[in-house]
Amino acid sequence: MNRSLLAVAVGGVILGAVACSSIAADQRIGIITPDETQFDPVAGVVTMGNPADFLEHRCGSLDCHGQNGRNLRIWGCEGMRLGDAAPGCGLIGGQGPTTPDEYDSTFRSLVGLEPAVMTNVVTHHGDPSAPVEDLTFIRKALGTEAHKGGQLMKQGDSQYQCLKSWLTGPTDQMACSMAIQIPTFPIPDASTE
Amino acid sequence: MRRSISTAVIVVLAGGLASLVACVDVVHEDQVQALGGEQPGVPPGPLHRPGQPCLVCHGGSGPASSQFSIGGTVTRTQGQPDPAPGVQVILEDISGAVVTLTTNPAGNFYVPLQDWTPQYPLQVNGVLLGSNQAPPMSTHISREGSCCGCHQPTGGPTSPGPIYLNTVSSP
Repeated sequence: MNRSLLAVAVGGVILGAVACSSIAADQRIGIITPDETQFDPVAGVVTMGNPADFLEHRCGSLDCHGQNGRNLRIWGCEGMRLGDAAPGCGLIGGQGPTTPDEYDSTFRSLVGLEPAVMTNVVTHHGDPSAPVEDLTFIRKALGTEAHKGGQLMKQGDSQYQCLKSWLTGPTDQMACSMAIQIPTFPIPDASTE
Repeated sequence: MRRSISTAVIVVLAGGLASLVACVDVVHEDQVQALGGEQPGVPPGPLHRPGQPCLVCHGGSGPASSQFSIGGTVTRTQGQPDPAPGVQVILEDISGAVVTLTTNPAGNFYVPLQDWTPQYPLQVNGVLLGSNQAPPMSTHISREGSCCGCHQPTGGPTSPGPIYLNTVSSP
């Protein structure tokens, strides 16, 4: 009797420990992901441009993917914040730059959208049998899949090249640095001059 | 024979009812209801509902008959509800088309859809009252025509709070 109780208690502790451990989402569900160290400026090796800042700027505004209700959720100073900080990248009024936790959360949101497809695309490194267009978020941005935000990029442009190179490796940092300039308005923003 | 006719009538009525229900946008209805009623003494019109997301009702799904492409509210001071009339709000769409709107006594500004159908994204080129300029909006507007959709009454991790002209009260 006592032995049974002990076994149950130990089992409960083990289950609790497993449930509460902070294993990364990609490891927990077995996704083979693109390199996180090439995703954002705080995770590792990128220096010029990176997919995270481009995605935050282009897709992460509060009226698009900077919302909790989206499947693809993007956190950062240009939109939804993860902690108590306010939207805005300045250093006033509780604002601040995108944090490492926000970059990491965006990464996990993105790679977890379609785990099996993501794994297939990444492991084939751009092989025609597993093009990046297999991923829904790429098709949506290309406008070949229904997307409320419409077509945002074209095959071959800097935005496409930034994402494709990150997914298939290595990241084209120059393309990402060009992509973050988009959208480009014809008339300069007078408020920032 | 009579039973089969009754069954047919029931099927037709059920189908009609289902079609009717399917036509109701429950999400939109909930959004409209969440706005509540009019403020006492302020009838529906240009001065009503400052600080609320205009395009919930003026976005083409009703119940308002007029349709806007953009609408919002500017307050005078951060953290205070006082309206800021006479403020110029300068907007530009990705094609380079620029509109300048002026806030009314309630602080509201809007542009009817027939006057401007912008090509998204947009940017805010200025929120000005003379030489007094609101803090610049550093992000573009991807597709939300209701400024108050993001600029909600209370700021937090998912909203920068209301649009305001000054960070401190004027004497």
